[in-house]
Amino acid sequence: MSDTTMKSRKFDAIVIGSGMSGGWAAKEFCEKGFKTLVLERGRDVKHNIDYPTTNLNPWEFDHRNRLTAEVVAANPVISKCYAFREDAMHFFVKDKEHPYVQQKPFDWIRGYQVGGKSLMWARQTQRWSDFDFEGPARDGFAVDWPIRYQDIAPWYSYVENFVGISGNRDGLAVLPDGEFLPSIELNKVEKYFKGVIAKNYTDRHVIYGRCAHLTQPKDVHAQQGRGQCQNRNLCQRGCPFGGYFSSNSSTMPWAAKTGNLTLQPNAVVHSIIYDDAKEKVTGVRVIDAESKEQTDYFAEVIFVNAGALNTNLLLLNSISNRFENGLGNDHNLMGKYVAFHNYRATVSAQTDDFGEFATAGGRPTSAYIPRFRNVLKQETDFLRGYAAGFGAGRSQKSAEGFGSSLKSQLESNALGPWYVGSHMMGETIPKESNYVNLDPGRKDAWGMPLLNISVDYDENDEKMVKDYVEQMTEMFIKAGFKNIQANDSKKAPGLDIHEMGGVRMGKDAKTSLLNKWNQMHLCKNVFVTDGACMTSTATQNPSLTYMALTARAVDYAVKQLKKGTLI
Amino acid sequence: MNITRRAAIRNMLIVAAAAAILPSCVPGKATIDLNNLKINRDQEDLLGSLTETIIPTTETPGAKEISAHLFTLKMVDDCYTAEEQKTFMQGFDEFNKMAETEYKDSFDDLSAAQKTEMLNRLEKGDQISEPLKSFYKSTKNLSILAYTTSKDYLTKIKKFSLIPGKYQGSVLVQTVKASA
Repeated sequence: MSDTTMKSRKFDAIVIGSGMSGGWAAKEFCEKGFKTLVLERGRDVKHNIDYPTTNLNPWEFDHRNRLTAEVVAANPVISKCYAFREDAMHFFVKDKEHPYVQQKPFDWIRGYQVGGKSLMWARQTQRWSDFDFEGPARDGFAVDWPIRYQDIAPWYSYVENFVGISGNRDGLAVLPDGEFLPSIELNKVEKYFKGVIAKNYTDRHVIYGRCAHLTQPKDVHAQQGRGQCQNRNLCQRGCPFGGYFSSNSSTMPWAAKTGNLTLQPNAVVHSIIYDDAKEKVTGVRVIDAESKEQTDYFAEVIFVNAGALNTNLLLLNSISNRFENGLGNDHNLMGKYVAFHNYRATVSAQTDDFGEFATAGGRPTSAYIPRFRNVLKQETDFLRGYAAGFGAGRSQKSAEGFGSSLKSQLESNALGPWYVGSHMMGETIPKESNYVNLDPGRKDAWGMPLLNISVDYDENDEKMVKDYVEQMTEMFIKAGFKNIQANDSKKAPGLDIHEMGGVRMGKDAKTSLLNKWNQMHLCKNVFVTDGACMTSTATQNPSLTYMALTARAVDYAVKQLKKGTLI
Repeated sequence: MNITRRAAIRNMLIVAAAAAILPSCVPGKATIDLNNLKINRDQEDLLGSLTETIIPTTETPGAKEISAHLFTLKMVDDCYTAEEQKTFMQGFDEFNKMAETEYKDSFDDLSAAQKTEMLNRLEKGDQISEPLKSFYKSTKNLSILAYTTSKDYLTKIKKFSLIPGKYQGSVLVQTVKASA
């Protein structure tokens, strides 16, 4: 190895992954003047340039946005994902390309490209509160979070201002207010339901679903080249206006503008290099996705943002004499206490009222019911609780018969009844028996061990599903909705796309892998700030918290680097 | 009058375009390339007649003009499983037989009244075999999909916009601009 190639492979910081949290790590390091290498295992996806379907009309899709039988047969897992359709399938990992082992059924939804899943996310953004951070300690599961709301609140504000979050200041302790752009309105039936719930309950609230959309862009968004959300509701294709937040439209180009970013797509990280002689982490080992050539890169600090379960995989695969079971994994905790969100149940209904009202245009969000169960104290026979999405809408009256009568129905403006729907987002309890580990034999095309996933529901989840159905049904009855139907899809974990944990934060190095700064207890220059770091899951959509934790951790890492104490 | 003339010109142009694209239409062979279904030209035309009966030409284009029958074949060919395709073809066969045995002619050649009577029976579904019911339902649903996602429908009948620009949560129905 010559000195010149060595020099070209030396950076101030390395960020593994370019998705929701990796993009933030890249932005923060680059802005602070750090020469930063971002390693992305997938292909490059440039904002606007690589959104091939973004401006297609419905009639321009061969199968009108449906999947072919061939695609479904070849992709039993990813085909289950609601956003995997003709218009966005190119942003999702196909089953055969990247196998994994389902020791128990688990639908692992992945997006391997620059931007990761931030391109196709559902864009819902809620802050955690202390009711969430205090959960494990109060209810006696996992370990106590090493941080509280006040530790992260300023960082929520910091990322919200840059991302652009549309929301109302609802004044709810369970879901703290943030830095909001204007909300988009709830519709007639949603407002009615909000009123019914306010009248009947003191602890339940129907609010506008806060989301990462620019409803009224500010200077900082214009500087990113992003414009106002146009209510297209086609976000999963990539937005030509930059109306919603993604790494591609926001953090990555921002990082590039500093001149400090080196982005390397098609770079599969094999492992993090621990130098046994120097007794520290010195860099990462990368396999070129195409040539499969191996190259080492070096930096003072490494941020691991590969996506929760892939972060587990590559840390477990980072073996040295010092760490035989994975980097920083002295107590064999890594990969355990994985949890997710329970999205199994939905309740729907309809109403014959409000027939004189309709909606116009599109809306990229809906209403939201924050967690109301077991908030102030334990009140049910299960731990924790659930939030719920809620939405109402009506579409064209369904047409019957055939011939000119059918045709005039199709061409009329007559509308059918209002339908209302709700889905649960339940907190699950992290436990040792829900884990991932490395398959001892099987490897993928890049020589990486396959990930075994062994994650399942438990009794607590079953009770929660039942309670959600009962409570939502009760609320719908109070609203006078008709034809109330509950459904438990029994779908496997994973489809919620909120898998978390395995490399949890905690106060004690014996019972956790990361400290309160997302820093590895045993490798001070390695930080994990994606979903893998989560000690518990709460009910909120997690991306906003990952972004805030990432910005906070980079700030800390940079201060320590400047003091020379990050070893 | 105006509309009729426009429709006539449009139809003429389409015929001319079709003649230009398909100068040597092989007799017997379907005009669409399919991977799984075995369809000949007669069957293609027959399906065209059925879809046109479901969504006829009025002042707006009918199923045939927007090629709803070809879209139906493409969707069944690409998006149906082998089992579903088998059922579709079996139902198609029974559809032809129903016309031939009960109305003594190919569906194409039935009078408008006979076509209507036959479709009324298929809609009702009494004493209709499962494959035939399924074939009819598939053809109807796919024809509706073809029509309601066609450029004509979405731009001329409904005011579809890729870029709505805003959302209004409570508008009075009578003031709603037709939108898809």
